[in-house]
Amino acid sequence: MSERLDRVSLVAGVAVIAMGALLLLDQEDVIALTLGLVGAIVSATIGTILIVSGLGEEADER
Amino acid sequence: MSASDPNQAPPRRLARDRSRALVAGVCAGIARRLDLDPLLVRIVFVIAVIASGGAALAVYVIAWIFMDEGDSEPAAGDVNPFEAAIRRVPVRNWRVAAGVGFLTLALLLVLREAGVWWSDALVWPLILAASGAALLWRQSQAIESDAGEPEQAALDAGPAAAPGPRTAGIYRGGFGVALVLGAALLFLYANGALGQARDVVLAVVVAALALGLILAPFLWRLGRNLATERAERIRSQERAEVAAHLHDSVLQTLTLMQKHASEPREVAALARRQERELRAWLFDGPASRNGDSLAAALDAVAAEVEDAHGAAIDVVAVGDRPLDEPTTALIAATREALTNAAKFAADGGPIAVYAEMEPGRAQVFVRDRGAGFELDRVPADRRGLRESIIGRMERHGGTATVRSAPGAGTEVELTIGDGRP
Repeated sequence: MSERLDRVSLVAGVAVIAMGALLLLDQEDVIALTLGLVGAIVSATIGTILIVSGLGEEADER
Repeated sequence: MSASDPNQAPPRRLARDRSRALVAGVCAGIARRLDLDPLLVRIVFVIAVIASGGAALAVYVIAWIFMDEGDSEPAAGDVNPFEAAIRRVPVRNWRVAAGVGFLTLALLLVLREAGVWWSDALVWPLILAASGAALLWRQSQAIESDAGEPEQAALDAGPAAAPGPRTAGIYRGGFGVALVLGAALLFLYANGALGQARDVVLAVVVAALALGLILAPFLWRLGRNLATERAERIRSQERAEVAAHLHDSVLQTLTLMQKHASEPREVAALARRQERELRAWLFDGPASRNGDSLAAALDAVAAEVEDAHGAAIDVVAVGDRPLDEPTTALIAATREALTNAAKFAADGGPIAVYAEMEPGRAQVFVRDRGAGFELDRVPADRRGLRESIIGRMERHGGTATVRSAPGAGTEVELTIGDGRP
């Protein structure tokens, strides 16, 4: 039996990597993030992971 | 499952959903595509409109222009159970709801950073108030939809029914009220009006407490009287329902039995029919077996043969499954076997039907204690056994086995499915 791709982990990983990349760019002064933007990025990451996780659970229940 | 399987739901594309539209069905269409409650999308949209100073309205209009109309009004029969569940349950998963909340927060923070913003003192209280109002609105809708048949629900639920949904509703309503009050307080605080409002609020709270102390005994008694009256009304409704059922069934059957007193076979058939109906009413409940289930079809076919031939048939069914083409053939073969037994073996005592049903397999045994027969001696032109039972089962991928011997009765075993759902 082939292993199934865990969509939640994949999306969560990509989202966290993207967030890390943005923070790194800010650290290197390539971009300038404010507190509000960091809050938005963290919120968007958490929101995306939660939605994918919730929708994945619904699909599994079906 | 093959690609052409008719039971496979087609993927939902992004299209307007006019069947649940308030304006053009854009929000409802997005909600349908994401499997969310339209109310949730509408709240996000309203917040976006407020926060963007109306710019989101242009996005709505563009979406209205470019989104397909979609299948606006699905027929009642086309709504699958999953779709029905989506419509019934407001937000099916707290993670999805929380995720949408976080994304909305992110969007607002971005708009704030971009300068598309009115003021913190206005927008944040507004968002809190909108969230609270949405919760309260949702709760009021739930109460309204439950209000149609609360008494029947109370009758069905019984005294030991779990108070889960009600408790959840109280929490949801309480949280909504807290959010709205919090929004009001935050607004007053942010605008420097909390100090002036405090005196007014204090006066109102003191007056309300005093009134509460004065009226508490009366209100408590009123509430108790209303609860007693409601319980009495439910009991009275239940009594009336039982009386009406007994009148329509048992009394009518007794009258018929008196009329046919000289025909024992007819009287026995009437008594058995009434017994079956009364047992089903008492122990199965009105919704335990619907017309689309194999068990219900088996009961119906047994009753039909019993009525037509006056033979006594005992049905024992274990499990259940929906009717489909193979199981419809199984029912038809069972009918033929029962008819044969009723015609040729009814004098040997009741005919027994035993059925085991599970998702991928169904097995029915029809046994009688009649004279029995030798299978090899059944004339070739008698097509009932060969065609209507054995041939029919084989055509639908099942098997039929007939065991009989002179003096030993007959057993017909019908099997459909291989156990795989």
